[in-house]
Amino acid sequence: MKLQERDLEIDFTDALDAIVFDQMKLGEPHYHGIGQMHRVDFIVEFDEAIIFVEIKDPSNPNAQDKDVANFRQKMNEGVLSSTFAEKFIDSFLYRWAEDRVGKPVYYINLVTLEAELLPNFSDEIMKKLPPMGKAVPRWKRQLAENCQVFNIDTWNDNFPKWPVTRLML
Amino acid sequence: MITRLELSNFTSFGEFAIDFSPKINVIIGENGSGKTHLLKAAYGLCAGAPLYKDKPDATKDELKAVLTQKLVRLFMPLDESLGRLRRNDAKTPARLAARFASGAEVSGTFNVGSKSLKVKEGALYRENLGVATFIPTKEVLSLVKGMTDPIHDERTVELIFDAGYVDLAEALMRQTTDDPDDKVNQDPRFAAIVPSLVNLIGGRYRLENGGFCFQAGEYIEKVPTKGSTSKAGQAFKDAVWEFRASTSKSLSSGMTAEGFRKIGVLYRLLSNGTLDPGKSGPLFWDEPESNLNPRLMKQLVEVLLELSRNGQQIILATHDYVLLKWFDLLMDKGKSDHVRFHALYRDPEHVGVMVDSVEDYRSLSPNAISETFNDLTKEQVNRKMGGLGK
Repeated sequence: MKLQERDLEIDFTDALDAIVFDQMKLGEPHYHGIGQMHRVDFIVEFDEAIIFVEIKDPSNPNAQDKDVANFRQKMNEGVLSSTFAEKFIDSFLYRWAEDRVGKPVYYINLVTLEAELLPNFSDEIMKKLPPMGKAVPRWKRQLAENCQVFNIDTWNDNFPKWPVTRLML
Repeated sequence: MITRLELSNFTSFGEFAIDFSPKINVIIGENGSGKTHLLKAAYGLCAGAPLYKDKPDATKDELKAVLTQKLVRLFMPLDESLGRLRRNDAKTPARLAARFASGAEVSGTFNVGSKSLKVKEGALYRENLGVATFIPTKEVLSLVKGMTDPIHDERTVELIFDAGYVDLAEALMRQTTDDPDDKVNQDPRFAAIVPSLVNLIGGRYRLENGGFCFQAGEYIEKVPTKGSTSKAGQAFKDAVWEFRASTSKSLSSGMTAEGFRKIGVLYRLLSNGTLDPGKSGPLFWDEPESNLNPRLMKQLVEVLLELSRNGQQIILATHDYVLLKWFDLLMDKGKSDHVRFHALYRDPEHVGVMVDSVEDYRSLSPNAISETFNDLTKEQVNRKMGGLGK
């Protein structure tokens, strides 16, 4: 199942279901409808897991300098990781209300940055997801089993069944 | 200023050549890839400069003895035998050669049984070659007292420390006749660097009773009040840097953080004239990041860039992404900054260590630092996601 965000396309070859979750066009399949809630780009379901996927593409060859500068600034100030966390939490709630979070959920993101920045950025987002790094003995399950950010190379390296390609649009 | 180094059958190198930037060179590579050997080989071939500086009419035999001794003392091979520095399995002699910006050239060859190098020097090698400085991985400031004490046992020191440490200890002990404050105020090159080094660590190191101690304090730029200058608009020229010592007592250098002592080394080398940007030879620095708080890295890189803008060639080896990234971010092409990144690696198709040199570190291949981050990513996926997506 192929999903596309601008010129990045991911083929989830072993998915049971794959949707563009932030669909805000009325009449389109999986119309979201609540503009006040943050939304991840894709939600994909497999036999034993669900993944939430957010995509940011600062290395897009057509990206404007000012947009890239704005992205870097948001990243440096920690705003970007907060946005990623909010997107996950609101999307999780939405899917809970749909009764569609019956499997372990993973937050797997594609951000076209240098590989050196990814582990730190992954941890920064994870730290902002409940339970914010705290031990909570009363919890029976995790919101996110894993939260990690990949660029195109590391994504393809780690998920050969979900190849990502940049389309020539 | 060294422009090219060639190594054949020397330690872990097969056929190897590297072209240095006249400004800043950053060498990366895994442990054991030969970074330190490369720095030491290049530094060793610069050893003619101090010889000819002290003795301009030194004979070729003296140069041969100095270069041989320097290599043996830098690498400390078993039995202190030069021949052991030839690459294992090599069938032909080992060779080291360096070329300098002035057109000077020097090369040395040796075989397994050689007691000394066969040296070939270009005519310009004995003319005006700046003296190189080598800063090894471990800090030296706190060791200076023991290494240079009048009753120290030289042989014991030589058995413990290679020439990189001993040379640096001697350079640090060099006395200066100038008052450091005068130097800062009279030479804009120092005004741009020395106060920021001192303020970075909140004080400066002074030589006292044969050892270094740390005096807390900071440099303050005093701008004269309006009317005290003779010409309007010239106030900046009258601004004076002044070191203001805090009231706390001096500390022995051993009581201060090791990262501070590394910065202190740079301060001392600048204030006693060992490092004289534009005149001194290359500065080789092995892992400047070791024991340095990553938060100090930005200012350290700013200082290194400022040194290079004033004509100081810098060749450093690092494992640290933070250091690489600060060079990338702070480099100002408008100020004609130039940084060349060199990745050392081994390739099964070739004998010995290879090098890939680029101007943009992102295009380095292979990049041991970036691969380390990829390994972290992979490990987290394997631990948390098992076979998902595979």
